[in-house]
Amino acid sequence: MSLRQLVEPDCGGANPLVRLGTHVTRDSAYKDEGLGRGSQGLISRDVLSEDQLVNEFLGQINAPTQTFRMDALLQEMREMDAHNFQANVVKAPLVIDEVNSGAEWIREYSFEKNSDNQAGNMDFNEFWNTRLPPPGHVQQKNVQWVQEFFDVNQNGETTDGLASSINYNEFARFQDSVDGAILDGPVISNNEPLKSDEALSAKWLEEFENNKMDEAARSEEYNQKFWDKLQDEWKKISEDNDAEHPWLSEFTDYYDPYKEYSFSEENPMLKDENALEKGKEFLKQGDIPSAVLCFEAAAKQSPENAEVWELLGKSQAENEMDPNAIAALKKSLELNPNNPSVLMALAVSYTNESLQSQALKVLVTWLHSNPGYKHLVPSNLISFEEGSVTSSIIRGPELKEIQNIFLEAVKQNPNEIDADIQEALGVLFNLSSEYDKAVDCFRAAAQVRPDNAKIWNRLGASLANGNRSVEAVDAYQRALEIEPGFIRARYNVGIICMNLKAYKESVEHLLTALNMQATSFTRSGLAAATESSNQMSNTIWSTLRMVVSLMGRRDLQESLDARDLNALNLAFNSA
Amino acid sequence: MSNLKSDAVFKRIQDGVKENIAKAKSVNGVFSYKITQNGKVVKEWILDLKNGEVYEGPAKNIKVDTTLTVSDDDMVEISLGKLNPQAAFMKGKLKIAGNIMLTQKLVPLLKTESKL
Repeated sequence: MSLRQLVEPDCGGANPLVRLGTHVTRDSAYKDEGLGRGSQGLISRDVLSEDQLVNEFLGQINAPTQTFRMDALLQEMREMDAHNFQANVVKAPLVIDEVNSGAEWIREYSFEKNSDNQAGNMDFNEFWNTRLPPPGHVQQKNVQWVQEFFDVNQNGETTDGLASSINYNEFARFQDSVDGAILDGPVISNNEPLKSDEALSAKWLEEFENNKMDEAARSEEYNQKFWDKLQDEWKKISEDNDAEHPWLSEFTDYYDPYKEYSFSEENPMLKDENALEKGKEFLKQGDIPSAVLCFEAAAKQSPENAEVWELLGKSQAENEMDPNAIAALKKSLELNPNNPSVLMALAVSYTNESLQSQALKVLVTWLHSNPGYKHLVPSNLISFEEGSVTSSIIRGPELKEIQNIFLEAVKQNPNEIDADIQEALGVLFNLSSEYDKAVDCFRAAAQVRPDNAKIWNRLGASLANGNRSVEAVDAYQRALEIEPGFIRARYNVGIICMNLKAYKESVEHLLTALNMQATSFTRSGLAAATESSNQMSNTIWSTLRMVVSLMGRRDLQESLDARDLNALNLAFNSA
Repeated sequence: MSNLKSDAVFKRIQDGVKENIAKAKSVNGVFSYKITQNGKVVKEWILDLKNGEVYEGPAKNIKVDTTLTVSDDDMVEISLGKLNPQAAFMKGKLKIAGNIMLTQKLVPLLKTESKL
């Protein structure tokens, strides 16, 4: 029906197809006027006009021919030319004709030869001298032709359009056929003129070949020199100027940040003997900052307990303190290597800190430590990864390779979702900035573990980084419902609001997060109400500062520099 | 001295560098950001990531590896993730002189990424 509308004419108006036609025919790009984008229109005009101009030009010449008989003149000239050459030689000095006549001659020649054979024991010399058209003439003709060929080539002049009709192949074919005829014929030894002709062409061939060899030798020499020079240059650069080319040494430096965990100085929990248990309690309630304090205390009390470090590291990650998290998780790994959940947490923290290759290394180790997938990890990858992480930026192929290994792992069990693998893949896709794929992975993981706040937050972060801010808010909300004290999720909400330019909301969320961190002392059950700036996340502060600046609130700059939370709370009426 | 929106971005970078000097130094380059307003350069920021310092220009006794020229508004857009630096470069909003490869390493410092 819609098609009919298109085609059928309508009363009182152009039918849609016609209207479409007007769209198409209208020069909407203004190409014809030469006004279009850039010089595109002009260029096509130029290209066109080259031919046009030539035609125009030729047309101008053609026009006067009616009054000025060019062809008559030309005819006259041809006649004169013909006179200049031996009258009986050729009608015109066209090479193509020469070639044809040459071929004709060959045909003639072989024909003669056949008849010659038929003639039986006729004396060859006599035969040549009498029956054949004077061989001297043939030779002369050929030589003349060769000379002509060279003359034309050298001068590059196109008298009578000669050069354009010359074809080297034709020449070669001609030469070959002549040579072939000569070699075939038993007459060769008797025929002096033909021999000299052959000698000439052989000489020419030799010359040509010599030239070619010379050229090849020269270019080889040049290449050699060039590469030598380049190599020297590189050597020089690497020798005397490391500072200017830091990447030369980059691959040899091992970069391993966050080696030591730095404790916050005044921790009121230090003497609490049940710090670990208390911490777990806080964790259950979703009060991350308080849990961190407890775990810190516990870690000081029993620094050899891998579980304590593990919990501390994971809580610090949720507390938006990745540097501390990394240090704690590493410590835990020292005590208990190849703990999958610690490895995963560490990989995530590395990713957050943009330490890509470190994250990658940890993910490979994670897969290797997983008994179900161990066999998928090629041994060279493990041995390569050992202590040889060089720069913090990964190279593309390596990342792809590892992604493929993980995808293999997923394919092993197509019927059930392994949330761990999906999470790891999600992290990998974050590393390669393929956020949409990461979102799919985390969604799958969240399907299996809908009560895991971390997964919801990771889903949200992937959405946000892939510029899907609005969807991200939902994911963060789920995370915060499950774990109200999830500082990281709240910080992420703040970032989303900032990216959406909702600065006021952003400040509110960031302040909420900071307040929760700051008051963790009091909540953790100790009387001490002293605030420690150490307990607050630096990243949140610097983000807050940026948002406040973007709001244009320069009056608050001082409070920000001093990290005066109370003043900011007052200014924004929060907490 | 005029107040620019992008100042907030550079303050944040300043914080980030201070917080983790080792990471900043791993970039190992010196950048000069020329911030323009209405087509005129109004401010210059030096990101000296060889020594881990961020300050208003001109550069102090150090060779600048890469000079980036960008407008005040676009700088904010880039840091908010609204404007992809590569796209900005293609569109001519971001001009880069010097070692372009080094700027790739700057991206994590500039953008405010959500954390996993």
